[in-house]
Amino acid sequence: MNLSTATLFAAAAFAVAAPDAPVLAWHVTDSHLDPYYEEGIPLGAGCYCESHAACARMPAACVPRVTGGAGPFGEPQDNCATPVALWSAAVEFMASTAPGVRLVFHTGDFSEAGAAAACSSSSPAQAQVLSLVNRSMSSLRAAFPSAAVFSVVANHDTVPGDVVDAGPAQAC
Amino acid sequence: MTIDDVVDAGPTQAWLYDALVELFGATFAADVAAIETLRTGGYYATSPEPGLKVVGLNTLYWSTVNPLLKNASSAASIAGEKQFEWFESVLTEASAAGDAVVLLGHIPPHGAWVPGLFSRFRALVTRFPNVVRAGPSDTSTSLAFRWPLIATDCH
Repeated sequence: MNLSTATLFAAAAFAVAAPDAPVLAWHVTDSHLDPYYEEGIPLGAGCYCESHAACARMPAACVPRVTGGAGPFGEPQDNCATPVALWSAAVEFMASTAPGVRLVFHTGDFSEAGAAAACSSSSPAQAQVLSLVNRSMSSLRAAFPSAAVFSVVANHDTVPGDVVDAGPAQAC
Repeated sequence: MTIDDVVDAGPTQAWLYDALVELFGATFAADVAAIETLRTGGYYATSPEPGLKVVGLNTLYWSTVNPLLKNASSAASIAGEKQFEWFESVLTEASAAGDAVVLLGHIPPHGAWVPGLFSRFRALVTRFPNVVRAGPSDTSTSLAFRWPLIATDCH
């Protein structure tokens, strides 16, 4: 599943013991965090909102523009993933709106669209995925220090994407 | 390489599942059984508070987005069946204990599950109507807290 720039979150409540004592939870999914997202990257050039300098697999034309280009909080085109600014703003909103929740759920797809291909030889695809999971889970735990934070693995959180139990020769 | 070129290599997800023990399992590090299934299959069941059980499912073993599930004898298919049997035991134990269960999964069971699996899943979940309270899942159509109960089998 890939919802591009949308970081989805919702409040939820369900009863455990008594209907008048609901358990409050936050549910966030498909964060698709992209640490390489860069404001001003031209759209329609196959850049995924990433610069060539930050992610060498992008075309040389992927350089920031002074005006236009990718916005600070994401883009609904070019299969761009979620900029750090959007993720941070979403977590901040969650924490300020309902800080006392007992449960936080993230139902997967932590990684950027296309994370199965590494941005550099020093950042293998598997390490890149794990780094993004760690970064997202850490920010949720920091924002909700008293809550239990749970997550599941999803199709963008493995290498190659969608597949589990594939051979290492197909990893990149 | 196309996705159809991906070959079955047996259980090879240690790079991910070993890491998830720390990344996900930090929330329930003292739950030995939950950590063990997370390490071996990427799924778990644990109780964050009395009366409540959280079940984290690995839907990559149940969904046809994983091309290895086209082969019923692949390691991924076998792991999926193992997860289903484990899931049944978790619900049975939760029912006996009087616990409420929250299901977490990523790929919703709309047309993207292995043919026939959702029928089995629905039959299982509806055996425990007072147990399964919520099933948040990724979906492109809605943030559903209801799919275990109202989704329909497309297969």
